[in-house]
Amino acid sequence: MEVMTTLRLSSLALRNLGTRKARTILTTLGVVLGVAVILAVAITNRSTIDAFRAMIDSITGKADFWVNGPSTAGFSEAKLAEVRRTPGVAVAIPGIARDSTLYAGKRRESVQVAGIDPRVDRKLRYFKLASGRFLKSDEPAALVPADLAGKKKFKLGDKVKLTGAGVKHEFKVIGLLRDEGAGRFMGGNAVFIPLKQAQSIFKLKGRLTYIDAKVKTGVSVKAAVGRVSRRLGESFIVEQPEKRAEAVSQMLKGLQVGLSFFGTIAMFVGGFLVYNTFTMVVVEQTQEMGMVRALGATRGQVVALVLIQAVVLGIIGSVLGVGAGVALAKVLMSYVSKTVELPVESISVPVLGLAGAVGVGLLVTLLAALQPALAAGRVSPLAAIRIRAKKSSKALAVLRVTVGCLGVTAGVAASFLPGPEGLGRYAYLSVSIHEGGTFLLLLGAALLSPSLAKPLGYIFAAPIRLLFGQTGKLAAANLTRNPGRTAATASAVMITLAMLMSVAGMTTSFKRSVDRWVDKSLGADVFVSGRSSDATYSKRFADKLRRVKGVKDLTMIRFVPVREGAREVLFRAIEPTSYRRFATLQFAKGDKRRAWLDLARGDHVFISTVMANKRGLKVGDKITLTTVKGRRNFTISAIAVDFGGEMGDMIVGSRKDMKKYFHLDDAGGFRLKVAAGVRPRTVADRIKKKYKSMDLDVQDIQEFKTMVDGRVTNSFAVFNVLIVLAAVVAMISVFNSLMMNILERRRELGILRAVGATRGQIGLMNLLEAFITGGIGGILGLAVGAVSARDTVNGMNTLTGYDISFIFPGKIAAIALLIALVFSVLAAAYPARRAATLEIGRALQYE
Amino acid sequence: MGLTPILKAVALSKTYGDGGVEVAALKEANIEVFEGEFIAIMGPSGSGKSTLLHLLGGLDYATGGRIFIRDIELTGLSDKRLTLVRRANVGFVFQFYNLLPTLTAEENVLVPMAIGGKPAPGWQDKLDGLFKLIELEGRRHHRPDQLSGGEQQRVAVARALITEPAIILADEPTGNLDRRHGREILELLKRSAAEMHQTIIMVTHDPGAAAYADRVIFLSDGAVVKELKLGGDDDIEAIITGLKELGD
Repeated sequence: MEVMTTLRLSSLALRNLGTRKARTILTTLGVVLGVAVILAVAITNRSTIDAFRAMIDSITGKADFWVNGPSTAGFSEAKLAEVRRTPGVAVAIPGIARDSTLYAGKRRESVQVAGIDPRVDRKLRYFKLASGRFLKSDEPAALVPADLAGKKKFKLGDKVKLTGAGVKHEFKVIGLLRDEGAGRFMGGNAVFIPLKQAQSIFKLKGRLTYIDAKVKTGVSVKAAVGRVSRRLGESFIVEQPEKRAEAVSQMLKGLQVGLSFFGTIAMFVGGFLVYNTFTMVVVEQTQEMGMVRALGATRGQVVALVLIQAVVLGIIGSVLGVGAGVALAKVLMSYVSKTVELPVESISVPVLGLAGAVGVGLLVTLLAALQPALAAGRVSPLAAIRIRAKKSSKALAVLRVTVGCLGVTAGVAASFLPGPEGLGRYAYLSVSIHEGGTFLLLLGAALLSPSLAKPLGYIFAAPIRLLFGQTGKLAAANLTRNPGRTAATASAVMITLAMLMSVAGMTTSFKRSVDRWVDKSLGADVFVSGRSSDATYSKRFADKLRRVKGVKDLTMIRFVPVREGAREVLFRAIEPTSYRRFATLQFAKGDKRRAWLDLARGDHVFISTVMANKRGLKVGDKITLTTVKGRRNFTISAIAVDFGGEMGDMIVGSRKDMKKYFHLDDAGGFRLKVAAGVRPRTVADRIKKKYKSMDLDVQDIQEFKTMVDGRVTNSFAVFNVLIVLAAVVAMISVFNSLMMNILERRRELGILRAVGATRGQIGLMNLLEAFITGGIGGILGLAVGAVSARDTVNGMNTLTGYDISFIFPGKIAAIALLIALVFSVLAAAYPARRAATLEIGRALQYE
Repeated sequence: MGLTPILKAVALSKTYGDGGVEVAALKEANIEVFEGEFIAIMGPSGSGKSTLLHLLGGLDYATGGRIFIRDIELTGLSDKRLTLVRRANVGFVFQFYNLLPTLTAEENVLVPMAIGGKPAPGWQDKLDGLFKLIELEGRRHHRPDQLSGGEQQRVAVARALITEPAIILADEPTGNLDRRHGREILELLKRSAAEMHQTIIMVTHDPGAAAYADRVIFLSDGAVVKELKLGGDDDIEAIITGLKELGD
């Protein structure tokens, strides 16, 4: 008997879903979007890590460990023999890796050039040729990934040019590589040439930049690494690939936390949508449920009727969500590629992420449907006759407001907490505090919104009443009738706006800080460097640049990748006297005058605020760098704001020290000041023209700023995709609740029409309702967004170690509010039309 | 009572559904109603009473035939024109009180005038008069859920009267009320019709309610099958006999 009842109940539930197709689709869409976002974020995170791993694997191939020199100038070839002679080492292969630019006709691409020894390289690396042949020992020939050739429109046998030491060199493409093994090196952006050719074009005669090695079977890698390390001396870095992978995971953490956070919020918004639609189920089926109850169904059975629908939709939505999630991941990954500057293309689906997304999809659907289901259980058998006057429980309202207030208070408090520095030994909690704070804030605001909807509604209702008379008045009155629903819709708008504000706050604040840094700390009018990051120039070239018409002053910069323990950091070598004529660094800590004197004297460095924050370093502390002369201690004389380095790590030292400890005396780039009255653009163009053949990157200050802004924008681009999704969900929510309003008020609309309201008036009334709802959500969103943006900036500071001061994105806030209003009205277009074209006769009979 | 009909339907038809299953709710009905008349429409369930009322009031489109209010032909008018004609000439009272729950009694009464844009001169006096007529002067600022069923229906009647439409259409106005409140509404309708020279067309099941009318039109299966002029002493008996003949 029990089984029979359930069977009938579920068949009724299924039939309900089938008959109300539009609503079924909307609800499912809510689940699909929620699940898709969570899954897409999981996939993107995993795929990004895997892409980095694959890159590392492709670099090292089957190598057990690798050897790096202390300087970018490489190390003597003689070291190869030493490694080979070390007991336990089975194979050691030499190599050179250098950034370069590939020219195929007019097309250009930044690539990494790998100089390999064709006789032995295949012992550790896997080359799979799509066409052509492998390299010979010393020929001006190159192996190129087939995809790269396709992208840049050249083919086997063509001649391409590669830049080396600032000059273009011609190579013949003799082999195209498949997208596996070496073909994936640097995400498929690597060109392989014979070692001897690389040594020649990069001016590294008799030198190498790395050695890859494999140990004999049965020999412990760790032991072999120790032996090689001892033999080569402490200035050499000998390490296992796993170490690199760990560093990468650490580096990507900020991005991953950010993505997960926005994914969670998107699910929150998705949950709202499901809640909204299931409330509609109850509204729509009130009469039916009353009848079922009259026929003898228990409350429990009616609750089950709604929940069964939820489960079915949850399952369908989750399954479709998986498909959509994979598609969405593709989009996200293309943005992440830009952020991390590595193509992330192959999809890795984490099992846990998959299970999590589907589980959350089902759970959220069930939870969202629970309240409406319970409401359905309370539908009286006399529902059809009774005038609807919903009395919400007072106790529940008190609980809602209390929890809401607590959430908002906690959220606001969290945003005012000091950064990790101020938290002392609880610094590691900082990210969780800011993240949790934002979540509590959103939740609190959503809970409070039913109480806030009315007063906020008045702000928008007043002008609307004035402008649209009775129609406006009716629209405003309708909104206050079901504050719960108005609030649910407004909340969806609010969350979208809060997300937008967070990202905008982050981007704006970051850009502003970077701009200030560019102005204060760089202080140049024109920037000259090589297109490839390891291009270097002689002092003679600096003198030539100095003599270019319009140039008033010049300072040389050289970035040296150095080892600080297991980490690779950038050492920016500057010439203190000339540098100071350009800029005053933004010192966060340290006595300015003394710091400069110390730097000029040598054995002193400045470090970036990021590095100081991340490592807990102070002025006066010492850091150990691996130099040509072995490990050397440098005293930190100042801590300065610096956005120049990889993930913000930067050490500033003198050129004198660079020469002494890294045996380098060239320049990687130049900063120029122009004479009074001369436009930086003119000078930049002059240099570009004069040194056309040199593959220079010349930018005036404006171009430079645009480039930096573009990079910042790119870094945050991935979040914009999530905002668009949240906006779609919010629009569907507005659409949904207006549709619901219309269903619930069919008879009222019928009466209005009967007593003479035109279609236009009815349509307008619904549009105005949407407008006011959008406005309520908009204002709430701006308020919550102002706080959550602070939280996001603080959280980002903690994750990255930057010290970005929060700037309220005022312009974007205004635009966002406008967008919220426009989107709400757009979402209302169809419901408004439906309301206007209602068949009056039928609407009146509806009960 | 005038000599030219204020409302006229010629061969009026309404078919629901398209293609597969078609249901003829009204089959070529001919009706003439004169100014100041109180007409009751009766018939078994599904005989097309409400459909007829909706068509006459311009709430729905006919699928055949023609309708005239005075010399305006409703059939063929655009929705906008039809709405304006309805706004100017027709007032409605429905079975379920159909008040807007967010508005007060007074605001509900004023809705048709407000929708029209400009209130007629002297509307304030008229409003006072109407509340006096429906005897709810003390409850003007109450919301519908603070009023009884009978009171709500009286407000609905006042709403139908506020624009002084020539025709009032009432769909089972007493159907949801007890006997006493039902009588009150009918008295109200009858009085207003007499005072303001309004024409009333009322759909009802109740022979007692129909007895308030001047004339009863019987519908069966979507067609007008019989008319009964009232005014004698045994009106109710006659109506019941008429209904019995229809098999109701």
